[in-house]
Parts: sequence; structure tokens; C-alpha cells
Amino acid sequence: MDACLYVIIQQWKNDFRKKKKQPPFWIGVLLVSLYLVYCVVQMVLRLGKSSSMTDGTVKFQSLSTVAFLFVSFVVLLLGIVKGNNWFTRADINLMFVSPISPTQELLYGMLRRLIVSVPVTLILITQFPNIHYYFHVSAVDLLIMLLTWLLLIFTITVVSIALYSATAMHPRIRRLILVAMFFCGGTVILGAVVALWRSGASMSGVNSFLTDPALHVVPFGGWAAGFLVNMMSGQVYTAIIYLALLLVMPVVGMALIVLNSSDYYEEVLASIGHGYGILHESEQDAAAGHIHRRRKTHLFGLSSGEVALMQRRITEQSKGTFLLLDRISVIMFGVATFLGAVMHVFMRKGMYPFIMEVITLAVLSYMSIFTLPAEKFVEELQKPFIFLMPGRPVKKLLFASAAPMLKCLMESAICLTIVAAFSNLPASFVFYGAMFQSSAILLYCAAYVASVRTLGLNHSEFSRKALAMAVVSAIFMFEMSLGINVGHELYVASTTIFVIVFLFLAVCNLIAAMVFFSSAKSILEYWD
Amino acid sequence: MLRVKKLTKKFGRKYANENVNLALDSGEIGVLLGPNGAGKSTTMKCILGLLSFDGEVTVGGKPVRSVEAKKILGYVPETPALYPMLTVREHFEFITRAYHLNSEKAREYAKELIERFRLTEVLDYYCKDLSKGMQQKVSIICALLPHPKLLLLDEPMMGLDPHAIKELRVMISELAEEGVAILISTHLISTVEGIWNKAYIMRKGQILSSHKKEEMVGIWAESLERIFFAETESYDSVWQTPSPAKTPAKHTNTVSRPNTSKKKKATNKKKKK
Repeated sequence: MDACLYVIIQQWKNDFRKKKKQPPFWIGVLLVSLYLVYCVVQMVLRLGKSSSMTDGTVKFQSLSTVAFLFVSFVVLLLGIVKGNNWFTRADINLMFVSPISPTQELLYGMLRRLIVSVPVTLILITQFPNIHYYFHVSAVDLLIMLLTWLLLIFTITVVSIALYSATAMHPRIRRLILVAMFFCGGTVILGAVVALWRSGASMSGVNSFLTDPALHVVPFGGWAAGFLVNMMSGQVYTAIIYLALLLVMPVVGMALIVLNSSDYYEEVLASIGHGYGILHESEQDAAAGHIHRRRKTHLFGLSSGEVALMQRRITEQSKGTFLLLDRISVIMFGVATFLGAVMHVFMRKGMYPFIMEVITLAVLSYMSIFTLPAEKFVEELQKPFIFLMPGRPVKKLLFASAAPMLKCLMESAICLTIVAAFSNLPASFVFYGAMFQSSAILLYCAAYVASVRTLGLNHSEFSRKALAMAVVSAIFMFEMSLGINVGHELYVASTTIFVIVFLFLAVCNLIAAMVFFSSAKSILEYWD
Repeated sequence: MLRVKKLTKKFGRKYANENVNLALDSGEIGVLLGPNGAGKSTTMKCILGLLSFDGEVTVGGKPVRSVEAKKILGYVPETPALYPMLTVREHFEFITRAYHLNSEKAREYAKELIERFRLTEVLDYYCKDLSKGMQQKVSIICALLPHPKLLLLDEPMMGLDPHAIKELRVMISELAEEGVAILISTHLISTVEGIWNKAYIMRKGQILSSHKKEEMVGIWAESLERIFFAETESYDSVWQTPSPAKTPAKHTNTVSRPNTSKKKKATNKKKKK
């Protein structure tokens, strides 16, 4: 383990040494410091005060339950599907062949994974004064929540790596686990929607559903919620049962890891693409009964010139997906169902739907952006063919990033149809909303290319994404305020005309994207 | 030192390796030759224990996945992959810790290797800033540092400059003299010409034939390339030209050869006409 720790710590040190010479790092430090100062000032100003919110504890428990269930679902899903993220090629060539035991290597992978959750935990801690102010939660209960959070993260990390290791050679079992997970997640969302319906579109119905002890049987997230809720309500013995469940699972996970010692090597090797990727895919396809068919991707006869870049990515994306929709799309549909239900509640309360429409679009757009694999885009930009093929750089950049936009268009159309079905919104909302959301993706891609151009490839992926996100968020804020203000006037005049605002915003996004692509076109003129 | 018995590796329905047998004793240099997709790298990764397989692989009498076997194993991968944010020096430190080496001795040996491969100037460079050839040199030093008794080299000469290739060839011979068993997988036959003891020619996941240099005579002893092309490019030529003169002929696997009788009959008919 000494050698594994050495790799982690030394890479950290070197990373810090390198970053401290770069201005973006210090801008980040400044922003974080400002945020901390803001938190402290807010805490001092609110000392001894509390908000007028009623049922604060119940709402806090409901929110915690949602957070625990969501985090456990996402971490488990990513862990089981993309377990290879725990290891790198260097780990295979240097660590896997060394006399370090496979169990220690897995622990090393887990440690690397756990470190990722540290910033989220720190943000959570800085929000304690706010939680205390709004939800009237005592300091002891906040500490219990922190403990529950840390325990949950540890448990699901160990369990996901154990499941990943145990199912590495059994794709069918892995698929079954994923189906069970989606079934559980779907049931919870459906339960929340039904509770909302039954309570006459009142949030108190959702709150009582989320604090219902029946929900505490859901593995991991539900157990964590069960522990927190019971500790807060003084039912210590019941809380201990959930605590025991959370503590036993990592032990079971560790046992699974030890039993499956080194079977994950092959899985890691295959998924990292050590020349075995194609063979491994053929293995998986054979198991799933798939046969790669020849697909038509002629794009209405336009598949020449720069369009070929888009065609290539669509062909790549269409393999293993249905109409470009994948697992993330399913999660998006779940979120859309939830948003639709919330929107329904607010509309029944007589709130202006245009605010909710703007917020719904913003949430879905951000989800699309967060789930976009931008790093693949960087890989594409580094490939010689994109430099060598004849054509204008701006067009090349545009078509290289158009494929995610198409995927988003498909996703968005379905998500907004779900939302519209809940809230009786016109079809034009779906049409213009989908246009806005897909243009938002294009805008993010363009901002990302511009950030690559500005920062260069020497900066970390995080820095590039953060810069692109900051730029896009600034544009979104302007657009949202414009949408809400203009939308208010238009909505009063005509509900149908209002959705044209989205069309206008989509055009704004496209123009902004083209400006970014133009400013970054030199990225395709010189390879260095 | 290395015993591979009936190694079979399947990806789905596709056989990547089938019934591969090979053996290397201490001090022997074995080469795995074959065209692209012959299964050389898969064989190497099975021997390393990175891939699951059917059959038996032992290193120094120990199962390949055991920690004991890994202690005496060194591996140079086809594509160098190092920790991007570690310097060259820190990689050697990592290997020292991972193999529990004596730091003083490891440092001295590393210094010697660094000088031989001319890496002195880049010792404090991050590995991500090195060229592919430099990274390959670092990979080689990482593999040699723990004094392995079995060294597996997967296309080791790829990306190396002529000086480094020369140095590596000399080093391979020296290591063999010291008793290290070495298995080299390559399709650059010229790079292993003159240093090999055993050659295994692979095709479609099987070992087509194995040859010991000491058993080869005449032109066959001089050119490994000639043997390789004779075995892989044209089966007919193997039958029509004098076969590699060796005693005894060792075909480790029974590989179905194309039915040449019809072709021969056709050519005879042509000749008669």
C-alpha cells in the first residue's frame, strides 16, 4: 500500500506545484476564498436568527432523503458501469504487474475514488449555517447528517467496486443489477408522483412520502435516510439497525473483493482499450445477442466535407444506443417526470407557468451539459484527420460538435413532452424548448473549445470545464432574466406567443456559439 | 523459468489464443513472432496474469497470478503508459517501493541504467512531457530495476532511437548471460536477429512452429526472417523449398495446413500442357 499511497500523494504534490504557477489556479483559489468569506459573513449575520419556515425539520429530512437516494444511485451506477475510472493505463503497466496484491490495488482505486467526494463534503459543511437558519436543524443533527453522508459515500464506494469486481466476468449479472437499480429508482419517482397526485398537488404529500419509513428499505440511500430520520426523532434502536446495515455492507463488499481477487484486471484492460476493446465488445455483444448492423448515416445526402465529422460521431454514438438515447437519457426522463410533477403543483397554486418553464429548461440544459463527455471532444480535436481534412475551421468545429446537439434534441423532445403532458402545455413549448436546449449544448461545446483555445491542453480537464461552465452560466443568467421579464409581458398577452421567447433565446445561443467557434478557429490551424 | 501449457484465451466465440505451449529456461531468449493480430500480445498478457485464460502458466514454478511470481517478473508494454504527473525519478522510487527493493542498491542500479539509456537530463521531467521514445526507455528501466528473472518485452523497440535499440540489444544479451529468461514479442524481426535462442512463430492465435537456434543449420540458422516468411507467408513454399533443416522438427501444435495436393495437380497439368 506504501507504493500506492506514494503514487497518489506524489501526483498531488506535483499537480499543486505545477498549478501554483498558473493564473487560473489562483483565480479558482480566490473564488473559493470569496465563497468561504461569504459563508462566514452570512453565518455571523444570521447568528441567533431563524427563518419563518414551518415544518423545517420535515422538509430537511425530505431533502436529505432525496439527496441520499440520488447520490447512492448515481455513484453506484457510475461505479458499476464505469469502474475502469478507478484505474489508469499506468496502473495496468506498472501496478498490476508488480507484486502488490490485487486487494491493495482495489483499495488504492477506492481511495482515489473517495478523494473525489471531498470537495462535495466541504461544500456541504459550508452550507450548515444556511441549513440551520432555514430548516431550524440543531448542530447535533447537522453532525449526524455529516456522519451519515460520509458513511454513505464510503459504503457505496466499497459496494460499487465490489459489484464491479464480482460482475466483471459476468455481464448478465451486471445487467440484472442495473435493471434492479433502475426499477428501484423508477419506483421511488413513481411513488413521489402518486403521492403528489393523491395529496391534491401539495408538496406536503411529497414530504410525507419522502419521510415514510417504507422508503427506508431502499438499499443504501434509504438506509442512510432511515438512520438520519430516526436519530433526529430520538428512535435510537431503529437508527442502529440502519447504521448496522450501512456498516455491514462495506464488510460484505470487502469480502467480495478479496474473493474475486484479480478478475477485474481483464475488465480494466478491456475497458481502457488496451487493444482488446473491440474483442471485448464482440464478447458483450455476443452475450447480449446483438449484431452490429450496417447503419445508414448519409444525413440526407449531405455526408461530405465537414459534415463527415458529424456523421462519424453519429455512427459511433448510434452503436449500442437506441436512436442515440442511452442510460443517461433514461435518468433524464426520470428527472423530467419529477419536474413535470413539481410544475403541475405550482401551476395548480396559480403561479405563472413561464417561470417554471424557464427553470425546467435551465435544469434540463444543465443536466445535458453535465453529462456531456467533453473530454472526448478534446480527443477529437487532437486527431490529425480533423486538421488535415480540407474545409473551413469554423465549419469543422461546428459539425464536430453537432452530434451531441442531435442527441440532446432527441432527449429534450421526450423530456419536454413528459413535462408538457403533466402541465397541459402546448406542443409549441416542446418544439421551441427542445430547440433551446440543444442550442445550449452547442453553446457549451463552443465555450469548451474556446476554453481549450484559451487555456491550452496543459491545464486540467476541470479547469477547462469550469471556465466553459462559467461563461455559459453567465449567458444563461442573462437569458433567464430576459426570458422571465419579456415572458411575463408576452404571457399576459398570449400563452402561445410566449414560447417564441425560447426560439429567440435559441437563436441567441447559436450566435454566441458561432462567435466562440470563430474566436477559437486557430485551434484547427496549428496543431500545437 | 516459464512454462506455458495449453494456454487458450477466448473473447466471446473468438479464439485469441488456442492451445499455446511454450517454455523458457533461465538464460534463454525467446521470441514470439507473428503478423498483426496473431495473438502475440494476448499471449504476453495471459503470461502476465492480466487476462484470464484456460491452461497453465507458471513462472519459476509458481502460478503466474501469485505475488511470488510477480516478484520475479518484469514487463515492458507495447505502448508506454506512465503516471503523467510523476517525474522519471519518482517512477523509479515507486518501483523501489512496490517491489520492496533496497533503496540504496536500486538507486545505484537506476543510475547505471539511466546513463546507459541517456536519460540523465530528463530525470526531473514529468512523464507526460516526455516523447514516446523517452517514455519507452523509462518503461524499460522500470521493468529492469527489480532484477527480474523473467523479462517480458512486448514490442520493446517501438519508438526507440537507434542508440537505444543497440543498447537494449546489448542489455538483453547481458541479462541472458546473467541467467534471466527473456521473452520478446515483436514483428520487427531484424531487431531480434542474432540474439535469439528460441523462436515461436504465431499465426491466428496458435503457435505454428517453434525453432531452437542451436538446431538450425545453413541458411536457416542465419536468418530468422527467412524462417518467419517460410512459415507464415506461403505454406506451399515450405513444402516446395527445402524445409528449415533442423533435427528434430518441432511443431508444438497440430495446425491444419491447406490442402496443397489439388494445387500441385493443377500445376502438374499446366506443366504437361
